[in-house]
Amino acid sequence: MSDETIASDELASTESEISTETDPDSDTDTDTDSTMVNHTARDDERATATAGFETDESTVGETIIESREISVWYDDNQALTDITMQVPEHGVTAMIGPSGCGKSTFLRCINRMNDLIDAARVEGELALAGKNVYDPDVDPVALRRRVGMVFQKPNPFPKSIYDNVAYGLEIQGVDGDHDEIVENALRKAALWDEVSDRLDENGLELSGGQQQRLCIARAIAADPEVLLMDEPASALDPVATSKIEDLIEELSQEYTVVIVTHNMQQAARISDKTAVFLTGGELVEFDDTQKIFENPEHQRVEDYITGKFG
Amino acid sequence: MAAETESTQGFGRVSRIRGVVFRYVLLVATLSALVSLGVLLTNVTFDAIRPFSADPGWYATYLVAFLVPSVLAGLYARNQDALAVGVEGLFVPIAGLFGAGTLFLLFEAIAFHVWFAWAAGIAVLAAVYFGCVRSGLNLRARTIAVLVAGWIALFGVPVPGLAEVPVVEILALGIPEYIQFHVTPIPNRYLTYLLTLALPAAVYVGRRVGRIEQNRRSGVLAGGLVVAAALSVVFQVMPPGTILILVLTVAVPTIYYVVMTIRHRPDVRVGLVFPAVIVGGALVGHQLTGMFGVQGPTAWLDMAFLTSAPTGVPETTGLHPALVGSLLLMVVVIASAFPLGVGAAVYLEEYAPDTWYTRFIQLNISNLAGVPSVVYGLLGLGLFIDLGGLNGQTVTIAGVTITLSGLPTGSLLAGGLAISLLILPIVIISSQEAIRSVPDSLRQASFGMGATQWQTVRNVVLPRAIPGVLTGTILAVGRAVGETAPLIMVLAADFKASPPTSLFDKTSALPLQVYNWAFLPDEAFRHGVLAAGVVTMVVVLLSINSIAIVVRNKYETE
Repeated sequence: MSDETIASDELASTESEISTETDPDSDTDTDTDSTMVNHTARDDERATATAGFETDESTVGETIIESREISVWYDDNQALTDITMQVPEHGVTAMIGPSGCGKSTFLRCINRMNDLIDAARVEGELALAGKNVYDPDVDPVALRRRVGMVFQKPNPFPKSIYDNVAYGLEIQGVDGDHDEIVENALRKAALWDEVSDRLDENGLELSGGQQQRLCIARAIAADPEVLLMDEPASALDPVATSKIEDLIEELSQEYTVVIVTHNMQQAARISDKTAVFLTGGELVEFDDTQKIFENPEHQRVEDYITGKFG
Repeated sequence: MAAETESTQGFGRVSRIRGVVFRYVLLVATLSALVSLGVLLTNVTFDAIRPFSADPGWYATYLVAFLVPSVLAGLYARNQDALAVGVEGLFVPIAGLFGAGTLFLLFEAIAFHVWFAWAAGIAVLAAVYFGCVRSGLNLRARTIAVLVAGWIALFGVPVPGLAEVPVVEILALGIPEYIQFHVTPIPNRYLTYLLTLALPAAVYVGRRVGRIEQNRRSGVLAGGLVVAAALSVVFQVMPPGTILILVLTVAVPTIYYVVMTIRHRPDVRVGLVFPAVIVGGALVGHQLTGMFGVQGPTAWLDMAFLTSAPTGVPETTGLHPALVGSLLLMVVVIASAFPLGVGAAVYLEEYAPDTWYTRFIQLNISNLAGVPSVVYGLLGLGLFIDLGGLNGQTVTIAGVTITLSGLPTGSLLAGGLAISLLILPIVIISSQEAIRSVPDSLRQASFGMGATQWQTVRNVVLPRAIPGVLTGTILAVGRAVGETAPLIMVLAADFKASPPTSLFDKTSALPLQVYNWAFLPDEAFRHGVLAAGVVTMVVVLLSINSIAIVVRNKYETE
């Protein structure tokens, strides 16, 4: 288990490199769309403090995830085309777009879950806290230990509630008082009050919404830096969905949350930044959520958001 | 088919004749196989039991004492759930009796002092393991400690000179060997079972009761009761070792079931009347027939048949050595086919890349499941006994000359391994199916948490797949028990008058014994004894299959 901490040691050393690598001219050969996205994103980051609306929400900080021309193929089908974007630390970044536009694929690039699919092939660079995760010396298992993931369908293990939350601690060999960590994670996931007296019960006996919060507790128990959520509320009813949304807002104080959603209202409600993917696996626009929903640059984005298609 | 409109009014009617015909053809197809097999088995059972040889008084007695009260009790506990509990309650002691029988047969093959010696070695190993868990050692240190301590405890380290020192020699010999050959006051049969069976059973029952009642004291009380029951049998008339096993396998589970039902399921506890009346009725019937002196059926299949060795006389023959042989063959088959089969299945499902050669291997495993069993017999003969033609040849490796020798013809190990080869593809395929049925979302969740492939397999895939794996394996073992052709090739079909006592002993097996009886000139053998053998075998098979069903249900409800 000790060999899997290598990645974290390298992060500090590569931190300084990232600023030099990200010169704006690096995308000159890509299409104009993404170049523009790149610029606007960066400009707005500086401007957020003075942008006006919801300044208390926009606690966006330094860039933590930076993708440079990420392309993904499944066999011969291109799922993502030259995605370049920067996800700021803390806050919620939403990715919206119609089905099959590659937003989940992009999410799974961040923790290299695409490695598990034989047919998938990734090109380009994706830096997490300054370190390109596709470098040959990166162990995807060690990477995933620092990135939590919550899936579309609640998928608790058929174990007790306690064991579900403690799973990451067990496999990662985390020292310390597991009882306390489990309780904290469940509290953060707003589930503690509902399950504190039945931690021995099977996680599958909870309701759908509780199961999803259990999965969130499981993901944050191991204290990741980034929390990836792949349509976490799409299998839930409106009440459970609103609980999850509140929870995501809470979590964004502490974690960087990247969330994929089908639901545009959800993106508008909870996210600080929004990326709009459209058919063909392109990132059409990436900006402050307010901007995307009120005054998007692109006609296609506006058509999508106003429901003219998709 | 177009609608045949009968009138211009209404909607008319659509013909369903073809569908109805199809449906009943399907029904006939389903039933034909079942009915023909049912007729055969009924016939065989009649031959084995000879129900018409009993006095009418015998039937009358059982009708009054057993059948009528049972039906009445069944009607009384009309409630479906209560009746289900009743049937379950009846099943517990019967299963216990089967378990007791299995243990008796096993302990016949394994002498009790050998058993005691190995149990002591394993107990030390278990103590080391739990000590490591308690002291919070990490996985690597724990594994090494358990492996080293286990090896020393079970097999010893052959240090020259160490074996001469009085007490330290235990390190050189290993606990089993030390106890067998150097400890003179070996406990007797009863004490051995008391220490190796009753104590673990008491601990298990105690913990279980303690957990269910959420009360430490009831747990201790329950465990204490088990020990008390085990101790009390010393004062019985039967040999205490024998009765101890009966107490542990029949009385303890039954009482546990009854007490737990009464305490925790008050709505259905009336169902317990049903099995109580059945068991009571059977006992009363037995007493009454003895009192009145009426004769029951003179069945071929009776206790003497199960406990005596085969002879040339139909009336005194039995299949005891074959029964023990089959049981031990099963042990060998499980010990060899289960780890190999499950290992191969895990590799193919979880690790193997999807390439043309893994697909080729997969295809061949599917085909192997269909290879005729006699071919596997030949393979077993060639591989384990003849060593592929190398048997008896001498090989010189690094100056040391060894004479290769295969397993003895007809030996327990050779037969068991041959059948393992036969069921290996079935075990692999059914385990693969069980592993495949584990939802991919769970693997994703585990990988997403940063688990390695091994951690995912161990913590997520295997626990979820194990019920299916066990069910498949048990069914495959059931098939192995009835398999005849490989045994004829490897074991050579002849009478063996005594059960095997070691892995290299010649052994008989149930199907072989039945096969032999089928060709004896005496009519009584071919009809009566053969039928009794077939019924025994079918009962063994059905009980193995019912274990599979119980395992599946247990995990499904959890």
